[in-house]
Amino acid sequence: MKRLPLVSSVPALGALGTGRADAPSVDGGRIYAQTHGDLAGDPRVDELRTREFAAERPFEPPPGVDRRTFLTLMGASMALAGLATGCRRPEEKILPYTRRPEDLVDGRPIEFATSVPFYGTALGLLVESTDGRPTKIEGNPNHPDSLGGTTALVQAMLLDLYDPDRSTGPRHFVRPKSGGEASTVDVGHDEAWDFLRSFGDALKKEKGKGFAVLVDESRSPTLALALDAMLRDLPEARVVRFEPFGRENARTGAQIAFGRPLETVNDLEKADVLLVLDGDLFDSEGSPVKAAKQFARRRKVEAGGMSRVYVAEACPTPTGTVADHRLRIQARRVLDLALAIGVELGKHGVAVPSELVARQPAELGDKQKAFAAAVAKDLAGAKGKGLVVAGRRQPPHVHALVAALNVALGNVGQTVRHVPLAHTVNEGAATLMALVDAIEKREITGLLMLGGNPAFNAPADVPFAALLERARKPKEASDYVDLLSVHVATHVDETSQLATWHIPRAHALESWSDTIAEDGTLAVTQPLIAPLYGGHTDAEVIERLISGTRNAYELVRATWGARLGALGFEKAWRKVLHEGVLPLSAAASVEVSLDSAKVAAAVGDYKAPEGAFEVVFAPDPHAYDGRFANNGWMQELPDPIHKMCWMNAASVSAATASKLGLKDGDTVEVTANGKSVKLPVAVTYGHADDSVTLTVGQGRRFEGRVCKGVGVDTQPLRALAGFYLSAGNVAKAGGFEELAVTQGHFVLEGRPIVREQTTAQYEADPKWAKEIVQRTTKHPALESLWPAWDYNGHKWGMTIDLTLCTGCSACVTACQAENNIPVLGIAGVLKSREMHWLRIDRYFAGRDGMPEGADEAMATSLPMTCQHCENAPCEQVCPVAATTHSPEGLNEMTYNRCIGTKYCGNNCPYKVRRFNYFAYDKDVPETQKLVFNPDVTVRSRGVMEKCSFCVQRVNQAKIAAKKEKDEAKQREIIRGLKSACQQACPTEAISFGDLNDAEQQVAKNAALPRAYKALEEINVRPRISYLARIRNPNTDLEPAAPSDVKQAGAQPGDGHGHAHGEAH
Amino acid sequence: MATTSPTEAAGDLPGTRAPLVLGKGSFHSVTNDIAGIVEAKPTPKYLLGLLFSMSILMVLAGSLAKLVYSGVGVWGLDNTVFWAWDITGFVFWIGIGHAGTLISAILFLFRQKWRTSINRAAEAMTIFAVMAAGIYPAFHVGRVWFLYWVFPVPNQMTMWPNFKSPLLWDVFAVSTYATVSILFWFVGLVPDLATIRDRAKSKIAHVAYGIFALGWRGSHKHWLHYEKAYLIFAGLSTPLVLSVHTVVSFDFATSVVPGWHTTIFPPYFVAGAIFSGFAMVITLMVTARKVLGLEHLITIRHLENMCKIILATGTIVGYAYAIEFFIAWYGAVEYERYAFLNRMFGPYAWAYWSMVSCNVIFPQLFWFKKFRTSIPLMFAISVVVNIGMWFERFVIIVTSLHRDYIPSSWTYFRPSIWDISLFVGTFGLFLTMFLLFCKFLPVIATAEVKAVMPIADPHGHDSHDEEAHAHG
Repeated sequence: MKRLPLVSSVPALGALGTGRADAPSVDGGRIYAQTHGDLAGDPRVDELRTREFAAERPFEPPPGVDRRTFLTLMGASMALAGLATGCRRPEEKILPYTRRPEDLVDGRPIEFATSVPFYGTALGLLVESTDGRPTKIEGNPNHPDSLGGTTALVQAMLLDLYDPDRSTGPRHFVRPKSGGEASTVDVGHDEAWDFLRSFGDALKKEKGKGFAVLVDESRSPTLALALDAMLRDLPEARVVRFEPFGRENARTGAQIAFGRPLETVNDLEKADVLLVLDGDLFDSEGSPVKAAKQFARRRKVEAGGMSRVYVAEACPTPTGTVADHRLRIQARRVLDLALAIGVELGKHGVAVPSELVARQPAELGDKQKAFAAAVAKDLAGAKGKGLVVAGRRQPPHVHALVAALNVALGNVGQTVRHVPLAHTVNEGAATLMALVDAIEKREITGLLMLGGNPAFNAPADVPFAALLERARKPKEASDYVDLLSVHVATHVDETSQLATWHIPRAHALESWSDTIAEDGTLAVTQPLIAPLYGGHTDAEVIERLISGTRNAYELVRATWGARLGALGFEKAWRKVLHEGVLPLSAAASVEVSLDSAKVAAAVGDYKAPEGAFEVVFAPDPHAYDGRFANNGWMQELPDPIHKMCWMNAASVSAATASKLGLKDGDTVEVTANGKSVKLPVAVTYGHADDSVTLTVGQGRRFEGRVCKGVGVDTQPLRALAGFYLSAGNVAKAGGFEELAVTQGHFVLEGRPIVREQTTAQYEADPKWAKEIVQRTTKHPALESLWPAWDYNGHKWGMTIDLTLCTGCSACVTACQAENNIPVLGIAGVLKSREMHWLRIDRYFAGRDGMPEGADEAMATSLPMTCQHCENAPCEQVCPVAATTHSPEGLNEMTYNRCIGTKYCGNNCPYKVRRFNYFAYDKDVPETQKLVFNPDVTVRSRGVMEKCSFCVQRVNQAKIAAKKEKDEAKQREIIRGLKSACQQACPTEAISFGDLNDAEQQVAKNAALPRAYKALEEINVRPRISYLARIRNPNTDLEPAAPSDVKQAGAQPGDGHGHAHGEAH
Repeated sequence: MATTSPTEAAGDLPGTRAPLVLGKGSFHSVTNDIAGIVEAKPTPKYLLGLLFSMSILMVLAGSLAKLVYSGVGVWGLDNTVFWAWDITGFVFWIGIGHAGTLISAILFLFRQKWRTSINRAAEAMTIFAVMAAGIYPAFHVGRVWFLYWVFPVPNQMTMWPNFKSPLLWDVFAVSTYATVSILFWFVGLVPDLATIRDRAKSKIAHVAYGIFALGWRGSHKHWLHYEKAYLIFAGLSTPLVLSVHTVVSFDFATSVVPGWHTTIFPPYFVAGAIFSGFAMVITLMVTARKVLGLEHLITIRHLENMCKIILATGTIVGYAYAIEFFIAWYGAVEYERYAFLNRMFGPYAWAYWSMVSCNVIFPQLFWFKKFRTSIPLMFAISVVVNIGMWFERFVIIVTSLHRDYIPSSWTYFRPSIWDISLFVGTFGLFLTMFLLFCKFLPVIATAEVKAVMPIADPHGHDSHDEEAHAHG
């Protein structure tokens, strides 16, 4: 290290790390870089580190530079990076670095490996940093729980970092000495630290008596160590965990079955037969990216050995969408289904202990019985190669039974294994109730909440918010409770507004921390930027409480020092920082022995919530448990099922809706837990009857600029007794609210846009999908007026495998982040003006708006984006030639040339063009401008835009390749190129690349017999090939269709076909 | 012909036709009647009308200001329906313009003398309608300040417009049409402007009209040149009548949108344009002849002739509607079939059936002479036809777009207040211009009308073919 970067007036932030910016990797010319760890050990760096990350001096602008100025400077550096190349050429000053950080090339992104806790596990990430600000999140291929993919929520974490509504400093509730008004005052970080230290000192005297720490599913070993250290100092203190959608049911289920709480780790890749009982395994629970990746590896049609996936669920999910067989069943009947399967398994010679299935199941319908029989037969035939998974919302009883079934099937140790919990803490809704009781009884008088937002999402009958409010009352008040509460949170949210103290929490992208995945794999969390508002990590707060002085970085290093050993620590540490994950750190499986008597007892004890309706609670697809409610990307992301944005609705089946006389948007009153809420209804084909699904997380009382007034708070219905699943009622309430959906018509109308075969049909007629239109129309090939293009160099193309697409929409948010796509708000969505370049259409077979088979219809997701037609209708009609064909086959939009006639949009058969009806680039909060990708123009008012095939990535790869002399290396770089959607996709359904390179996956896919072009019959020659969806149905449930597959397809010629597939 | 002085009743007799100018007016009285309108002080009724239309014009100004200030998002457009009231309005107004050119050029070439009483006003209507129409393509773009990029102006970017684009063809077609129409109209005005110049009492009027009269003295040589120029313009305009709406129809016909992509569009659009244009002429003339006291110059015979043209073109339009459906079925293209069924029975069925009743059913009443000769009835039907023709364009544009290939993107277009206000505003422009025209220019081609008066044809009673001599 010759020279050291110095902290200039514009802090170099994450870019302090001297990433080897000139060391290209195979990953599309992008760069993995080491960070601060590179410099470890150098005293000067340590000094710098203190200056930058020391908790005593959280990042604050240098004297004389207020935040506004700082942002202006940041803006200037963005301008420098070419961000401000919009059509309007905004005037911004450009300032050079006074001292340039070494190895920092303006505009050249560097990637840092990090990880975030989520879904009760952790996901490894590679975060792109541009000029010191994180601009894009990707999955870390080295991390077992992300394997290079992400989910929409993980993509959207980036925007949360720049949320202008984040808390900017500690706040303190001040009780007046005598009379006077109580008030909340903003205080400095030093004061907050002083308070914590004195609070800790006071607690030490009492050995922590009366003190509790409430954590969320943080997954940090460092925090766990800090909490352990705290418990040594404060042995009487309690630590409890509450996560609104946690894994406590699964862990308790393992406790019942195996005598101790265990983490269940699935390996779907080894599963020939997968049965998912009411769980959204591929999108929002378990370890969704890993599950989706593993699922996808067994669904490569051409590789053979396709797995078979059965899903039984109440409300349709992405997981149910890709299933071979989907059974709609009330969530409260899942145990009965599992029992029926257990009984059936016995018939097929599986040694299911008889007491397990002794409980008399509720009467199942014929479909359900047939399903149970078929599934059992399949599972029995795949002993040790099958897998049964229960969803998060199912009670521990079901998890225990499922664990027992997996044991009986010999799946344990093969497709499923159990590992110890990372950090054993009392958790769950009941624990929160116990905490509240303890506060009520004055057993607890001090409460530290690390993250979470219990005042918003605690169970309805746990009066958490009321308790915090009562603690603020005058001490004389009759209902006063003595409680000093400290909430560490990124926002002054519902809980922080009521807590005695609020301390800003650092965002995961600003934190030094670490994570442990569900299987025990360790990974680091390293900051990409200094905390924008001086936030702190949870571990730091605990450290201060027990009078420690170490900052987050030191704490993490200490944890890892113990793990990696003193010998050769620096080298190992730097490697971990570079890779983002500690290889081979997964926990060993625990030998389990089934206690079938306990399981049988639990199964026998289970009481399903009985009532006219069951009410099922699910995390909101936009807000999750509320934490993403203020995130514009998530609010605007159409959910995978209803394609609804900016609101939540009650989902009921079509049959139930017609029984109650409901149509989309009608207001219903849902009653449960003695409370009721009114919200619009969404008619959901495929939902279980007499069941209503409510999503939790919208209707925040926190008045963020995004979440204010969005959705309805359904928490009042979510009580302890029915935290995930409750009895209740649904009634028409009169009133109507138009659903803000991006897709209003879900039926194919016989159009061959989605093509689908079964495995048997595919074997019999592999070219059916490619040729069906030609075969039915018998029309000679159309000719073009214009000469065909020669693509002598690259020929960019894409393939999308419909067998793999779950509809999870991670790609949509990835595209939004990569391409600076604006967020419009509900008004824009209601006017159908959403700007997504890539959308996921969801289709049923059927006509006149009615899905064939109504509630039994199977849906298929179809990602739709610009097809980069070789004979593009949009290019012909633009009067100013603003959209043109590149020699490499890209349909290019020249924003600066576009005058906005919108003719191209009319003439696009795929309707993928998006118009800037207003100046969406205006009024972007200053902090959120930092999220913009400087390689992509921010479009101004009046111009058309659409998918560019990530032309900026294409060009980066081409430039990187051009610098190489060696042709093999050049090819390698080009082959590493990924579009943003492709990179995010958890099932690798999207392939992108050079069709002229026969070795590339995209070229191989495009040559497959099942590759077809949507709307090929109008001769626009699209550049995207869809790989027909191949399902692998069980012939017991779905009799093989005649080998003449015509019935399975569309017949555009005579208008009597149905495009969607097989007879249901 | 009967020796009795011609009356309106004469038109009833087989083999005879009502004269084109009624009453025993002399050349001088005709001049007085027409020039008198220009010379007289504006009546309170007129001023009130002008005030009204100018207030609507202000609506146009306000709507455009809002549009340019905020963006085309103020309209009800979405990601699927990128054109709606804007291009509907454009085609509507362009269509209306057609009658003027047809009357002035084609009827001139076919020696239809009855055109003389109405051609001036109809041509004026054409120009004002084209002005109203031009607002739409100009202002419907996202960045109106770069509109000039559609013109082939040499520039430092060395960028030409895209000559493949039908929108560019529109630019040329409409601008040519506007230019030729204005020149044609102006040439016809020259002798009459000279008359008003000569009668002018104020210095300003004298000079102003004098400038535009181009020194016309009425010499034989002038008349000779005038007649030639007029004939040439008529010849130039004739193909334009067909070409403009043909090119406008290419905007749709050359696209891939089901419901747009049909080869029948050019003739269908031209017929529709003439249909709507004549309806608008009737609407205006029936009002103007009453208000300006020109019943003897714009007679029932003129109006009845126009009713017949409406009947003919309305029937052609009805035929086009039918043949479109036949082809959609016969062509066996799923998407096109759906597009047409969707028109009839889809969410916009109300618009479709409004269109059919207005354009196909009501004009059929003109088979009855009672309807062709009753002023209130023909006025009512002409208004109905205008409404129907607006709906036709709306149906073609919006019902085709709102449900095209990909069902996921189907939407339902609803106009915003600004869609409506802009359209209303264009009527303000049209009416204001027309009222100003009525006041400042001779509304009837005085010189031409004189030529078709009975007294201009001393031998008229000898001939059944008045046209043969009328020009003398």
